Amino acid sequence: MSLVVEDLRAGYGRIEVLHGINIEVPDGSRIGLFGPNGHGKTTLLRAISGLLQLPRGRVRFGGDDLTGANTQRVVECGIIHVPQGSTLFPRMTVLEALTLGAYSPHAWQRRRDNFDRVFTLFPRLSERRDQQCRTLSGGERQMAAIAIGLMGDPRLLMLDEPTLGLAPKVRADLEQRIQTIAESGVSMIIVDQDVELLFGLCRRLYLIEQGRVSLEVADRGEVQHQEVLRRYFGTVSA
Amino acid sequence: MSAIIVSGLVSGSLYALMASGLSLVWGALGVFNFAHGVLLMMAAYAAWWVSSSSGLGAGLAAGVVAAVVFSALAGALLYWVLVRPWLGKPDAELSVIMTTIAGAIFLENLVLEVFGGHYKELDQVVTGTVMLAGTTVQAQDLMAIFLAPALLGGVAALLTRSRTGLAVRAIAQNRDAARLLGINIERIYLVTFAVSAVLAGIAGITIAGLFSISPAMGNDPLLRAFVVVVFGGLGSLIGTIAGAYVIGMVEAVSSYYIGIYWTPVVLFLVLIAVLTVRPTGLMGRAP
Amino acid sequence: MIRPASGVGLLVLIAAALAAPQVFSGSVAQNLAILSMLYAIVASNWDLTLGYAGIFNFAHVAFFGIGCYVAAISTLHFGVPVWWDLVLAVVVVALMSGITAVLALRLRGIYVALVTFALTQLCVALINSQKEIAGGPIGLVGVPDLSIGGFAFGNDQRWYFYSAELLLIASTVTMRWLATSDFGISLVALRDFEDYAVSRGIPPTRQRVLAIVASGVFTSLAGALYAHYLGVASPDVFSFSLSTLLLSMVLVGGAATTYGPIVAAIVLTLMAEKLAGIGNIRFMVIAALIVLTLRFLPGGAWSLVSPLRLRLAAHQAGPSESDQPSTGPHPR
Repeated sequence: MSLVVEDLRAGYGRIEVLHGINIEVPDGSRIGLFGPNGHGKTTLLRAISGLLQLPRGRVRFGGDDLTGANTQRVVECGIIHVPQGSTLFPRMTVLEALTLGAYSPHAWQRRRDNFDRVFTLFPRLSERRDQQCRTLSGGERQMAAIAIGLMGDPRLLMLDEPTLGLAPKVRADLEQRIQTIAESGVSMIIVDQDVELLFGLCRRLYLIEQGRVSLEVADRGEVQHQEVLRRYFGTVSA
Repeated sequence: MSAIIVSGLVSGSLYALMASGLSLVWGALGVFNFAHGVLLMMAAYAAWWVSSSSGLGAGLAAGVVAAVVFSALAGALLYWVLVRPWLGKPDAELSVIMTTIAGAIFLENLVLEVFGGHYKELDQVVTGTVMLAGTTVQAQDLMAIFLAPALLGGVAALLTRSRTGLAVRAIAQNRDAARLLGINIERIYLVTFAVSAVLAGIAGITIAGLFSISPAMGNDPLLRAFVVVVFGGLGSLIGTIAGAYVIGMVEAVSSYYIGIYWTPVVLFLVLIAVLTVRPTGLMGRAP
Repeated sequence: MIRPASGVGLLVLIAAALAAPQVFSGSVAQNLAILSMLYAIVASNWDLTLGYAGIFNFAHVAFFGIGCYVAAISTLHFGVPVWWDLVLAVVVVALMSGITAVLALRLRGIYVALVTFALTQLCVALINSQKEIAGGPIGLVGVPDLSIGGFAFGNDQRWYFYSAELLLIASTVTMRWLATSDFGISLVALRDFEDYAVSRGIPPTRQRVLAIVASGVFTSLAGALYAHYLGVASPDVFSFSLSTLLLSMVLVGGAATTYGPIVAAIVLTLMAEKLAGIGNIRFMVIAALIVLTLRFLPGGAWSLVSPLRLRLAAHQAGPSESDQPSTGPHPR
């Protein structure tokens, strides 16, 4: 199932943040979103996952029109949004939080399988399953957030800044696991500051500036890579 | 001495029943339902009207069932009219205090109009008296002592084990994250309110059998529940239950040594002290 | 906005005040007028803390009630001369409001409402427990009249009428002055943009304590006057019904407007009397009014009158939750 976003306009109250976004996530592929802060990347994810009022334009996933649908419906259709910097559920155990991830009916039935999948992918979470979420380290929290997302049995997983604030080693570790998730056929939208990371994981990148797609990078050609870095950072890295 | 303990147990059990619904709503929705007392009262009237020969005359069992069903519906309606429109707005919790106070006044006077102010009697679920540790208590009191832990233990178990219970806790701990999991927050709130109302209703039926029914009968329980919930701690059902028994004991001791007129003074002093020193209560967490 | 400082306006006001008892002739009408003026004082003073400062002070009703009881107890049991008991009422309530403020301001949000509510209940419990001094649940009767030079006000109701008027005018002038002064503006700033206000050097706790104490002064006087006028002090003065009525005056009249609650007090008191025939339904009407106002006209009736108030109402209605970004500044 592919996600198609056409001319999406949305915002908060009377403030429009997205001024006509067009992106596409073909089935089973990964796309990356990057760009300056406050220009709409998170807003775009929120618009897709049903958190904003009255968006205009179109959001289509497979055969379903999800424009303006509420979050419950979006989740039932298989799109899971893992938000930025989640504090999870501080006083629940890891196991309870993961169980909660499988809340929607279709995921609930498959939770046993997904528990296996998640614990294989994140053995550290298995060790900590009876600990409360607030006792986890930063990296573990990120893993838990993604794991909770996976428990929802997603067809499309949207990760908002998964590596934010993590040490390089932890970041590399997480990148590997995201790669593993990708290999299982789940489509992904990944928002991150780390453009290198995005290039490593995603086939296509979109640069979001001023609430619009200002650049689309279709493959990892060396030329375009430098172009992106120059545009984005103002210099060309060696 | 044992008379005091028994009295404290009985009071504590009744307070636990009264306060648990209030605590549930506060923990789950973050609002204080001042109409909790009238929910208690209306359930008693519903039970009376269905069971008594002055009403439908269908017998106590039917009355109890009717009261429970009525409570659930009343709780849902109360949520819809007096709580939901203000959730998510700034100062929601303060608005809800005002709307639920207004709702309480409205409903108390409505019942006064419809049924009049004369005291009514509701049959006891279990009748007679029993000897407990050398003291005579009503059988209904003993029922309360067993009912409270059983019922509330059940609720606590639901909160920890069931899918809906997890959702209730999730919303209380991180509403945005809960929404992203596909949890329908409105529906959970509605269910929570209905359950809270049923708990109030059961308390009402129990109390009605021990004392009498009047439109103002919910006011004292509301105040007691208020003390217990704040004392026991924000959002903690276990804290509320523990707090209920502590307050019950304090009341029993105080009534014995200082008399019943001074006891409310003691209770409110204790409450104010708690709010000043440790606002989150016995077992609550910082909001 | 009426500016009483203008000379002509002042003369008109004085003339109207003097003439009023002739308009409200007959003891029933005058009684209603006196009660509504006293309630107007309580409600408009409550507006200072509830409306302007945004402090949910549920103990305000207790300021009124304690003023009432201090007047009654001191004159009946301790032989305090009339008029001096009014001073005593102000002093006692000032102490009490100071304590209230100190306790309440350590807390946030809903806890302020709860602790002030608990304080009011404590007062009720104390009064109910003292049969001898405070008359217990029945109350105290035989509170002496106010008198000047041996002439007791009880002989001519108009004296109480003028007293209530005078107090209302003094209270309103004071409240308006406070509201429009730097002090009042700082309260609103603390209410709406606390961090910014604090960073600009406004001391939050001090301003709020002052607001709470200030709101108690005329309220306690109104309570004392109430006791002398009725000749009775009863725990009804702390009742839920009266509290709700007073609260409705503030909300329905319009929070943070001073004049709104005054107008609402007069209208609602008259309405409650008119509806006395249908008994308890009038409380249902008032309760419904509160909910409807909170829902559809959060700025109160006064917001219909003044465009400035419309802006306040829009602010209080606020954006709803799902509009808000999870990061970024929230106007409160």
